[in-house]
Amino acid sequence: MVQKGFYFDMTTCSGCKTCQIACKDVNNLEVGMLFRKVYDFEGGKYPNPWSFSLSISCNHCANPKCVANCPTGAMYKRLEDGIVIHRREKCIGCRMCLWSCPYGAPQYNEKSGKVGKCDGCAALVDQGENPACVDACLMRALHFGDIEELKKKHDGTADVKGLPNSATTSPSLVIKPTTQARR
Amino acid sequence: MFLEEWPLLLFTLLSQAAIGTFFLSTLFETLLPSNQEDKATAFIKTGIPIVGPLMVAGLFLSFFHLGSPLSAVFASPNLSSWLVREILSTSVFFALWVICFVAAKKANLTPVLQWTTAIVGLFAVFCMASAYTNSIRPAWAHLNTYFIFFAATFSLGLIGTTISVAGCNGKRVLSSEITTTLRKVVLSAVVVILVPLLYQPFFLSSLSAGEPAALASANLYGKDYLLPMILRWLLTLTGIAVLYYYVRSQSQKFYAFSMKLVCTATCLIVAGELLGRCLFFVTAVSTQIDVFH
Amino acid sequence: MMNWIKKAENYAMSRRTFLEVTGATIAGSATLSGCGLSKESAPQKPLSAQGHWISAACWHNCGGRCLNKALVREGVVIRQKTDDTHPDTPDFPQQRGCSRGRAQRQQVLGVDRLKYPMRRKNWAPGGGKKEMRGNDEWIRISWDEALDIVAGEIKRIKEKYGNSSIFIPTGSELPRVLSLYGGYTMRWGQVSWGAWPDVYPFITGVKSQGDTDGNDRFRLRKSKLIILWGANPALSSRGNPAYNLLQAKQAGAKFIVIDPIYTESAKLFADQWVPCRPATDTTLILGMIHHLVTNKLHDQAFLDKYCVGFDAEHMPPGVDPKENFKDYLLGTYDSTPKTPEWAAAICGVDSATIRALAVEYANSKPAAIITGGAPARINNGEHLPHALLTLGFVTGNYGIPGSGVSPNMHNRSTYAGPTMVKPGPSGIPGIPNPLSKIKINNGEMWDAVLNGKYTDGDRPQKEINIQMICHGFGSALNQRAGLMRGIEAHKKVEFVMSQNYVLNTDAKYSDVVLPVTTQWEVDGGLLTGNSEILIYYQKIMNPLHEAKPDIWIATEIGKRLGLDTGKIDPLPLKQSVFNQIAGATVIKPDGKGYEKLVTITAADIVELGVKGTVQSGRISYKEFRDKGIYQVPRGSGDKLEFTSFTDYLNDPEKHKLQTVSGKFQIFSQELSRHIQSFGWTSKSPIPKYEPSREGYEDGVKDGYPFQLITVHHARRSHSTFDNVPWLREAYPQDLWLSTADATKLGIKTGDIVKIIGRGGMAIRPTYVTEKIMPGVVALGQGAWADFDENGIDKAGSVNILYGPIATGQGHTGYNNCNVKIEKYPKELLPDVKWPQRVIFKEV
Ligand SMILES: Nc1nc2c(c(=O)[nH]1)N[C@H]1C(S)=C(S)[C@@H](COP(=O)(O)OP(=O)(O)OC[C@H]3O[C@@H](n4cnc5c(=O)[nH]c(N)nc54)[C@H](O)[C@@H]3O)O[C@H]1N2
Ligand SMILES: Nc1nc2c(c(=O)[nH]1)N[C@H]1C(S)=C(S)[C@@H](COP(=O)(O)OP(=O)(O)OC[C@H]3O[C@@H](n4cnc5c(=O)[nH]c(N)nc54)[C@H](O)[C@@H]3O)O[C@H]1N2
Ligand code: SF4
Ligand code: SF4
Ligand code: SF4
Ligand code: SF4
Ligand code: SF4
Ligand SMILES: [Mo]
Repeated sequence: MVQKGFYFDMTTCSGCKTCQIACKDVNNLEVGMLFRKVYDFEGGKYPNPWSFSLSISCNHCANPKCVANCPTGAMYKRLEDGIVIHRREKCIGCRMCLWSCPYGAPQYNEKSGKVGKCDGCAALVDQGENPACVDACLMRALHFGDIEELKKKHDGTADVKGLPNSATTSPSLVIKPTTQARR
Repeated sequence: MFLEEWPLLLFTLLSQAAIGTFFLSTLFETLLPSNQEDKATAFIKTGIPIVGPLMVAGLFLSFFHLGSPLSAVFASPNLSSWLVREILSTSVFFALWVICFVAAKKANLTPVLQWTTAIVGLFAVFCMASAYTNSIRPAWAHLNTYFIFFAATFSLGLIGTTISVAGCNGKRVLSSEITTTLRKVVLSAVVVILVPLLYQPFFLSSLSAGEPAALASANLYGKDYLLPMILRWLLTLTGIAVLYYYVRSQSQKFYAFSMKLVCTATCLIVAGELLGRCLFFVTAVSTQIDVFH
Repeated sequence: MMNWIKKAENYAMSRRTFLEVTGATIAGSATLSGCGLSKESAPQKPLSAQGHWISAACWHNCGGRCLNKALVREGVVIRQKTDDTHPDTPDFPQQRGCSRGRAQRQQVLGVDRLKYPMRRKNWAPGGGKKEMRGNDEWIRISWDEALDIVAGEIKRIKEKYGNSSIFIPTGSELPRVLSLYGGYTMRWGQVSWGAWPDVYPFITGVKSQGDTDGNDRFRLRKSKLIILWGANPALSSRGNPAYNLLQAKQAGAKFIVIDPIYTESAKLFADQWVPCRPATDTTLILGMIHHLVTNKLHDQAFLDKYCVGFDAEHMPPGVDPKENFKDYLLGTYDSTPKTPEWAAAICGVDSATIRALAVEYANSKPAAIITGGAPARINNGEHLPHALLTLGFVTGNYGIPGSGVSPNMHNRSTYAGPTMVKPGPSGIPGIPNPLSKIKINNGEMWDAVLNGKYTDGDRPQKEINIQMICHGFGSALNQRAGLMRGIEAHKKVEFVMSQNYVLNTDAKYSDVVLPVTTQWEVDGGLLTGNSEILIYYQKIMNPLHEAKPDIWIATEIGKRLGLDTGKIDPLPLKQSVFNQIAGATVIKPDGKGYEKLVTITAADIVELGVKGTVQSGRISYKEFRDKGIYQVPRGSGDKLEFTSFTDYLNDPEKHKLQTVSGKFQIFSQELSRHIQSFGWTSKSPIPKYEPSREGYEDGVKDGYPFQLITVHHARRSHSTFDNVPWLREAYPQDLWLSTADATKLGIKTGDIVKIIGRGGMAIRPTYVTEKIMPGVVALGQGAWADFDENGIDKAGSVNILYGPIATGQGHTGYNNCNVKIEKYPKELLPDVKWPQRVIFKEV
């Protein structure tokens, strides 16, 4: 199986959140639901501050706790490319996935009583397109593809400051961190 | 987070109360000298019935936790999910209880059936706890959760058992056999109840040494919620002490007073456990993105 | 129990405290709560095959220009995308849209779109209860009634007070009507480029504000050093500029960012961040030059050959040589040498840094200084552009690829040079305003309404009696300094009308509001942006509700006034768009001259139903339409690369500058006279530091300890997009406060503070950060003013804070605002949770 995933170049991300909005558009998300979210971090001391942004969605983990803990199989991992999909009709809104994902990827919608989550734009990917967020990126900092290839091409990590330990779920995510974001 | 989880909170408490009651009643009955058997039967007739309604209430409330309860008919439950295991095991426990209940009515309840049910109950508590220990909240993903859940099972079960025993004896003074047995039951439960309290320092220090979310939980326990935490244990321990005093001070003329003791103990223990469970939920900080490592 | 429940809710707060302990904080909170438009949490993604893609206008004054497309199915927009018309490379990048453009759908189709013409309940001819403007109820009226009211009031007011009493700060097509009807009073004044526009031509001879000078994106890859001086392209030139600068960085340029804020661009590029007090940059520049000159690190040969006015030996004829720049710098006559120490005391940059900065800049060739309008967007700030250009002259950093000093802001950031592809003329003749001489400056307009006087140059003030205000494609009330005075003015006049598609601040204080179509609902058009692209957008959908195009409104009003409607709307939109396409030209690959862009066939003309002639050009009409864009092919080393002043540098005799001396003017008597002629403030002929009104010095003197800068905000294009929920959610409107100041005031991130200016008060949540200079606070400009019962603005609409001040060339000093900051005891709901301004539910 090819495992697909994201590469994120933190050193060139401006934190503009275009990816976040493109995602809201393609998924038609209401306020409160962010399948991709850009987080801004800062540190240091004036006049030597530093900051970096993290653009994070579901990481389509190799070891997805959300899938393991979902009682209904609504969360499931596609065999062909490892994308973790959420099947709405099977979801009972028990929120076990929220308790299971260290990345805040599944989000509960009070109104519909169901969860929603980044599905790697599987429908677009199946048509040979890129996920909406990737093609939206103004700094070309986001990439999607075979995670092993991406890992080979960019020497990165999924363990940066601000992110939970990757050992928990083995995210399909490679990040090129800024100096201060290194762990 | 804490508020929206109230159905789960009550579900765990109610089902643990039910399972605890069943288990300790079974223990009580087993320990009771054989010459008291008729009394035991009488006791079971009044005692076991409360288990069912508690379970029903718990399961009913648990539905409020689900965003789409109507979709909750699983075509193919994911057996690797502890939530599924929890639901299955509580269902089996409930089914066994129904059988016990009917058998008791027909007076052919066997200890094997009773103990099987009790053990399945404990397994359900184990599954319940595992649903939490498999989460990404470090304060839950901990041995401590098992201790807490079993302790609650036993303290609430103790009340259920005591009330049943007291209740089935009507206004009669409890026989010394019964009080002695009850004392044994209380003491053995106390051992389980005290485990999380004794474990607390180890729990907190292991949290403090952990990742940021763990540390945040440790801070909540150790600072923000220290007083409620102390209160929680005072309530439970006082409740148990009162209960123990009641068991020892059985006499006809004190009947009214004794009932007050039972009520007081019940209130104290229930309050203690409820508070404890609230704290369990409120202090569980999720591992998440916005926390620095 | 209650207490714990509260605790549980506040637990996000305790997390924050915890973060402070670990020495790191996160911007913005992560609260997730459902509230918004659609019910679906994860609907199926609309696939391309399920509709067709149409290029969609993104038409705002947003600092960029990008290709956006809408997927339309049965007249309904189901999603958007951006440029994918060609593979993306750094040399030939796609024109990708920003977050705002990607949320356009939520603006155009927002629940808060104005649906019907409406009027204020307590309106009556002459105004009715005028004081209720802004707080009245709205009544739905028919188009006929609305147009009758507007035409009736125009007629009545014209007859009673004369044409000059009709004031159109920004109109949409209505000016055409009034120009035919005897004229109207106009508004004027630079808001974007600060003091650059009138200074740049006098110093360099180039008739522009300087935005097309400097280097194009390829030449920037040759710079050794790039100084972003009060420029934050990553935020205010969305689209490709930051990506282009990334190429320069990867090609080896070192970056220095001089800005009171550690910006997104600083984060991306800065090797060094130099925080500087707003409106005091000139002192920093003078300090740098002082160090260079006194240490002979300056380029005397360059100054001698290419400039006038540097020293006594190189002064223009007929002026006192003592007035030269060098002697001012050295303090020869005013006994104040402009040393780094002198500068440090004012600008807050320590003298060692000033010296190092000077040396670094002088020794790095080529070095490019790129500035935005912001540092010059200060009162009487003409000295800033003059000084900054002079810094370039003193080091001779001009004329070689990768060098220069230029305000490349907006969509000219990293796109200096000639416009390579441009639309042809539309064929619609302009209609001159018979009263074109009557114009009121931004800094005086509301006072003029209230007091009846305005400045008309270096002469006594003139009288004016404004009785009608018409708002169109602009937000004069919300976007000009002195909003509180503006509201008073709006409550004084007899009639106020607005044309808009949302109830912005201007519309809110109007008597009659006319709902207009957005550019998604009209028959297409062309949009220009950076120098390499031309965008052709199409109609996406039919007008929503009862919205009408501005030109239809103008025509209907004209009809009612008995005017020749053929003059108001001489051509159907389709035809004028076609004319622009047919006339569009593109630069030839050798850079010498232009050629036709579009091939037009007889079939195209028939299909479009327009008048035209067959022509041949570089691309077919259909390709242009389907792609929605033409982008000039570019590559490294092509003939279109651009650096300004190379000719002048190579041969100063043959390519004399268009200045009085033919050289760069470090001394310009003409500039000085020119500024004087506006009638407000003076400007020395040399780049002399002249403290700004409401600058740092005034703040200290008057007891306003904080300097507020009002930056362009990520959420919006000025006031446009401020209402879009997705954008509100993404970008909070917080006051930035330095950790040092916050500690003194006992304020934490998330606390609500009151911001007190000389003109009004606002409340906002605070973002406490290490990324801003102590003494400086920042708040994004453009929020829709929204007052509580005490007249305090809850939205943080910055223009309520200023009293309007007119200085210099009549530009607005938006980055001069002295404020006080106080902790505010009450809570404030995040603005994303505020109800949207929905006036009528759809029926
Ligand atoms: N997102 C967004 N982008 C926009 C717009 C928008 O509304 N929103 N509007 C567009 C328009 S019309 C314009 S005119 C441009 C404006 O473009 P700019 O003028 O470049 O933008 P600003 O954000 O006002 O300021 C840029 C930087 O200058 C800094 N600055 C402010 N005052 C001073 C000063 O006195 N000295 C120094 N050294 N730095 C200072 C600010 O901290 C800020 O980081 O933006 C365009 N782009
Ligand atoms: N304090 C402070 N104030 C500032 C600035 C600052 O830095 N600080 N920046 C200044 C700058 S640089 C600028 S350029 C100005 C910009 O200020 P404005 O030019 O006033 O820009 P907007 O606020 O975008 O107003 C545009 C309005 O037109 C409406 N509109 C859009 N399309 C149409 C249409 O087709 N027809 C009609 N009738 N209406 C339409 C929009 O809904 C919106 O209400 O703001 C200035 N204000
Ligand atoms: S990021 Fe979270 S939701 Fe996505 S696969 Fe991993 S555990 Fe599951
Ligand atoms: S909320 Fe839905 S997706 Fe999440 S674990 Fe429960 S059933 Fe599965
Ligand atoms: S892949 Fe699709 S769903 Fe996932 S974050 Fe990107 S745009 Fe959103
Ligand atoms: S669009 Fe790209 S640059 Fe902007 S925040 Fe997302 S990842 Fe970063
Ligand atoms: S930069 Fe301007 S034109 Fe481009 S998408 Fe953003 S708002 Fe639209
Ligand atoms: Mo502007």
